[in-house]
Amino acid sequence: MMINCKRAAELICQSLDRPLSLWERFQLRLHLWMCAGCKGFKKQSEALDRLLQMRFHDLAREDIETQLDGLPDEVCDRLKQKLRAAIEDDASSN
Amino acid sequence: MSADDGIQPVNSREVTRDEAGRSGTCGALDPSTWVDAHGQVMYRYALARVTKPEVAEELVQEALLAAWRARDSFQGQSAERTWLIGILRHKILDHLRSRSRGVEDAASHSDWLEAFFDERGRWVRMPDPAAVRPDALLEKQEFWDVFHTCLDALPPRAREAFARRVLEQEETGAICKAMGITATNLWVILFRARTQMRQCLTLKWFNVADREAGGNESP
Repeated sequence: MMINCKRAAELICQSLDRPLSLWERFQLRLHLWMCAGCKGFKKQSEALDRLLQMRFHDLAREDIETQLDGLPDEVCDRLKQKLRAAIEDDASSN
Repeated sequence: MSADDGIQPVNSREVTRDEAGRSGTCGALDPSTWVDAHGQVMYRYALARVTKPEVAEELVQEALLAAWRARDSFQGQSAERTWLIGILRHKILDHLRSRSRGVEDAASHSDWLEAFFDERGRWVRMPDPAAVRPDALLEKQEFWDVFHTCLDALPPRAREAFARRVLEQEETGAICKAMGITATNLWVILFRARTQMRQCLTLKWFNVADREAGGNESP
């Protein structure tokens, strides 16, 4: 019934990707109750997951103003230039 | 802006062809407007995932070109932007996949576990719950540079699984299908990716080394 740290860490990671079963949750809770290391692992893993959610999910939504740099003008111009050149290339080779 | 000078002849031909070919679709594609209309969103999307501006620019460029060349496949069912971002996502995943450091994970699965857990499955080094405050890190460019150093250090399969799951928020079923692996494989790979990412970040960013396990706290 008692699981070791390796199994506990596995369950902590999986809990971020799938719902754990009742039995798994019980085993994990029991283990966490007496293991400071896994408690730390859980805390950090969940914090990191939240951070990544914010960065890659919430920010991906267009209506949220991002903290990232916008498109610099010179990049904008280069993108247009190259796209135009490639389109002309394609047109002349057809 | 300057978008319409050189592109115009090609583009108007495109519109004519569109009108003749598929007049039913709503709105013909107009690549000359892509950069102005979607460049910003595409660039930020890429930048968040690859961190380096020059790489982000290159990926957006590649995506725009690929979109132009695959313009016949645009169904008009999705918004133009959704379609472009979809192409960009593929370019980003390809990029992350190709950044192999030559370490393949075939043989090393048990090795990496040994670095973290002893033969009885206890931590070799106890994770120290250093204060991780997500909101404080979100805007720190240096943190994301470290994040990418850590991501690059993962074995290729772990990096791909992690990128798909965490960066792209793909469903686990879809990841299994795309990578040709079982769900059990995926849990193992993601376990490894998350464990190594956590350790790499705590070490490199927070300067917190996990403590030597005294052996008394962990059951």
